[in-house]
Amino acid sequence: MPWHIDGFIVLPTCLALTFSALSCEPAHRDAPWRVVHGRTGSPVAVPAAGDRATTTPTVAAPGLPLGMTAATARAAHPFADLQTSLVALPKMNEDLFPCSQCHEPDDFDPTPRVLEDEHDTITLDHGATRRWCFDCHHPQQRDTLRLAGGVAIPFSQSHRLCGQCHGKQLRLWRVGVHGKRTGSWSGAKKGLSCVHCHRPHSPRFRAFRPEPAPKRPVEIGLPTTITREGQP
Amino acid sequence: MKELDRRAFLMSLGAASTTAFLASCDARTRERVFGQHFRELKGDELDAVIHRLERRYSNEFGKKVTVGTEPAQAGVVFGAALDLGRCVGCRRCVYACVDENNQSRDPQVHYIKVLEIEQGRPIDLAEGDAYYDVAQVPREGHFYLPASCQMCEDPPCTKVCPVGATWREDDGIVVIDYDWCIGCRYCMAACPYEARKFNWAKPTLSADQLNPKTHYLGNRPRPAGVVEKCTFCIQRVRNQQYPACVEVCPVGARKFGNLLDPESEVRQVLKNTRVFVLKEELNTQPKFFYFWGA
Repeated sequence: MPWHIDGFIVLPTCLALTFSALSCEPAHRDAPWRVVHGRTGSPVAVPAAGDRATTTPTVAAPGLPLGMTAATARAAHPFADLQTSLVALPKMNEDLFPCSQCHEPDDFDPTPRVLEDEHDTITLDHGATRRWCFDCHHPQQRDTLRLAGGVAIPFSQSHRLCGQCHGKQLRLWRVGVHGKRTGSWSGAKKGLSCVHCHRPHSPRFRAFRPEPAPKRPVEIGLPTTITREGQP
Repeated sequence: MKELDRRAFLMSLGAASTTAFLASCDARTRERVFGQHFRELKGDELDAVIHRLERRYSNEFGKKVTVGTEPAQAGVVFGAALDLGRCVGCRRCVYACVDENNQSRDPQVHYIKVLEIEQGRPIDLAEGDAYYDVAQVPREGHFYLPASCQMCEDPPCTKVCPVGATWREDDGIVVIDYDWCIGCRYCMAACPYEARKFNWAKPTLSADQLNPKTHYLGNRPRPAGVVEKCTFCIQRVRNQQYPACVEVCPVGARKFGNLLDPESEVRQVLKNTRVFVLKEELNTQPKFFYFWGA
């Protein structure tokens, strides 16, 4: 009989349905952060309805260019949420900074070369074959950094320099996805400048010693029945 | 004297032994046998339970221990995220968690397990090695996958508890009442992520190691024979702080925040990066997301 269902399947199914119906908390409450699969098969985050602007602005908001909202204006700030304050930069080397105590504005040699007289302890391990000092340091205003167009920026805005090439990291850093934030998840947060973690001349993290491995169950004296390629 | 018949004798025996038992019970046993479930405790009854616990822990450890009962905040559902491109497998989070949450040092209990997986292998809890013991991390050709309680929205563990000792709070944290848990470990069998740990013996924890700021549903000292797990540092996050693992991560791989706030880091992760969850096919809907930042 085609409508016959094996009793073996029916009873556990009934029990499972009853069990879940009786379970205490609602299983699927409204979740605005739901992650669903897009058509390509990779997960796509579904933002809440309130996130998206529903109309294209035709009139500029007061004090802002057309198309820019308060939210996008805030994105131009180092951190998108104004509650996050940028921690002060690491202390500058007092022997070397300010650079203008040794360097005159017009006295510079623009030829890329390995330095031998001074600053010879600095090894550039950051695109060294394609770059050298004056690509980031401003030759005429030595107490500043240099953006690609020649604009001088203070060291306190060094993230703008990093962001010229590492734009994705900069955009994620602004919203707290890249880099570390401490403080309160709901209130005042402190973020770190790029140079707090990445040494500008050799930014790649070095390997370091990990904390000890956990004890295996057999060492703790627990009963073990499953082995997986020699691991108790 | 009128003879007692058998029924009357047995009933009087039962009444006498019950009375004797009740009279001999101390307040703690009386409370544990006849006390109400934590979710139903209010006002003076709750204060009495908390006061008893604080007194007991303070005496045991010789320093003032507070047991908080901060409830879930309205409009808050906690979520966490981890950048697999950043984690270097240093295990600082594992031990920060141990220090913050008063876990037993012997037998060792760790809430977070860090798997070292060969690059190219699937990102799966069945892969890799949690016991890697190398001089330096990250090791060439490997990536690292820390895993702890996924704080499922539809948790299998809470459905199977026979006594109702574990449930999901309104702010999304799956909690355990250690005084209600009977130690059957059915929840450990149900959890697909091996997130729950059992206290096979009385936890060893010295007064120096104790974190005295505790929460009833979180890091208060546990007895032997109960299940425990990550609670997103409930004692910290309900006081607006980040969990210990998020604070200690040296490479900023861990994110935490309110999933209902579109500007929180964890919502920004969902908006801007490729995100996945473990064992998605089980439809547990974890609130722990793995992603790759830039």
